Amino acid sequence: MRTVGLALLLVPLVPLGAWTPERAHAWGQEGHSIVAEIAQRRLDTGTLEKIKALLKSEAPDVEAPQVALASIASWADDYRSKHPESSNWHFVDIPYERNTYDPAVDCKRDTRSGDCIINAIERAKVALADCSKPAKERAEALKFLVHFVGDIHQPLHNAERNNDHGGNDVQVTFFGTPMKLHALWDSGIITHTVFSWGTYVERLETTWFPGRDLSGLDGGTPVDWALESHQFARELAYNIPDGSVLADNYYRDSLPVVDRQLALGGVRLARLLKDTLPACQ
Amino acid sequence: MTSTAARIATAAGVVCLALAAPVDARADSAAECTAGNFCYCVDTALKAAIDQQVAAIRSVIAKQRSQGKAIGYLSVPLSTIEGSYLPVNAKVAAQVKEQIEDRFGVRAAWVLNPGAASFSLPQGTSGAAYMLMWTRVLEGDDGLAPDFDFVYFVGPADFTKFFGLDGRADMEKLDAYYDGLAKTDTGVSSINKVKFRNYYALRASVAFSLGSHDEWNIVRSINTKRRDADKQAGIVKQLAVFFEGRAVPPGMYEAPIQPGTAGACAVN
Repeated sequence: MRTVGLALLLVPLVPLGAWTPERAHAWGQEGHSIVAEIAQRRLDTGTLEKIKALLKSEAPDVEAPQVALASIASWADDYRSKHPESSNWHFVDIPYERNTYDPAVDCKRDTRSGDCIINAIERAKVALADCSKPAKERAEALKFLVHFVGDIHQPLHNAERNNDHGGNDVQVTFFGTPMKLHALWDSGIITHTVFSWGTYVERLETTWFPGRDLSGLDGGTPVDWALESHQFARELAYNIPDGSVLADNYYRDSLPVVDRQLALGGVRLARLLKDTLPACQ
Repeated sequence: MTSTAARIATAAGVVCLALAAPVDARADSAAECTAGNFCYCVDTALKAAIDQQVAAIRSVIAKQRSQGKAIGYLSVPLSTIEGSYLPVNAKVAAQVKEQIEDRFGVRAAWVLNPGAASFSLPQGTSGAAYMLMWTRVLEGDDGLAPDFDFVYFVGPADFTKFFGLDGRADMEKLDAYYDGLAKTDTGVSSINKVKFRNYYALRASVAFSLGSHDEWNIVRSINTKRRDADKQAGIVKQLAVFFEGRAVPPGMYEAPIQPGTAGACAVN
């Protein structure tokens, strides 16, 4: 998410040169919880035990802590509020017109805001796999991964058009409710479909997954995922009619993509965790 | 055949798929023919690996068929040759498979994608060996393709969708795509940029694939057998054939084309 609305209210209070719109860069909590829950359901016992051991460092007094990836899935958004240098880790702004990834341009490091989600995922993978690192640091890496693998599957975290900050500067109405295009994709479509994220998970488990061949869909690299999301942004998210009034047609076309991205985000996160988590002593 | 490696090896003499031990380059070759009499020059040392992989693929198909799904076969150019580039083609193949399954319903249809890495043979395997494997999978033991209900031949529109081309300066967009891809994929630098652009703008289609040419003739042979096997209802029992999403017209079901890899080996 990118809270441009709030930032605009503050404009008169801060020097113009110092102000840049804060950017919202995440599925809402619903989306992150959905991705994390789907991943957790696909983890083997061994991987879950490793995760449990890692997160125990954060609750040392709990005798037998249980693991809920959904409970840590939005931690990175809280971290960002205190660590602005991590702001850019939640997205990669690949220009709408270009369907390839240019690391030197799209992931260029900003001293105040960081680089991009593709590098952030790679860094977190390396940290998580390194048994020599302190448990606290590896637990943070885990929380970053759970969050960023979700974010990279949100189409508007991987594209921007006319410097619109991934659709944060685009106002639409969705079934009569004014909102930013980015927020629509973060949470608007999800919450228009069901009220609770748990219900959305059950919906995917009972309607999206059954019978589907996931071979060939569960792998790939962060660059592959970003470009796939970028393609959905071009084909669907930015395909808004004149007047930006969105309703049945837009919802009908977008929902299957939101379903796919949330479901595959979970499947890919599970595979990544299985492949990355080592058996540390 | 459509196999990733087959396309590569057949056309360019380069095999990229590689999971198991390399094939001995000095191995003896012999003609191996299928139920439909499509013959390929194959290293004899590979026969066991091909048998094993055919059985494994049939098992995958059987699992999908047991769920009541219609089974499709994807014919798609995959080789790195004359501007065509395997990593791009493999992504197109995966995307088309997903689109077909979404179109018909993931619980009602399943598509065999020969570009999937899990269907590879040992490193160094020739295109002809891959063709033998895929022909045997497609034909089945009786040459009637009992495992399959339809075949989808990939056409230019499928590639156009992948690249996001919109009919305005498409070749220039492909130039830009090549430049962009080169920033994360060093392998593409082995492909001439002009050839890459021209291939994907003008030729990317089964019409320019050796393996897909064979597959067209294999499908035609299968449908001939199906018609001959049942004089009353054989026409109704033919494999359905699609080209870039549309059903091909009736006359095309019976039209032969130039062979790709098949028939290049002398049969004793």
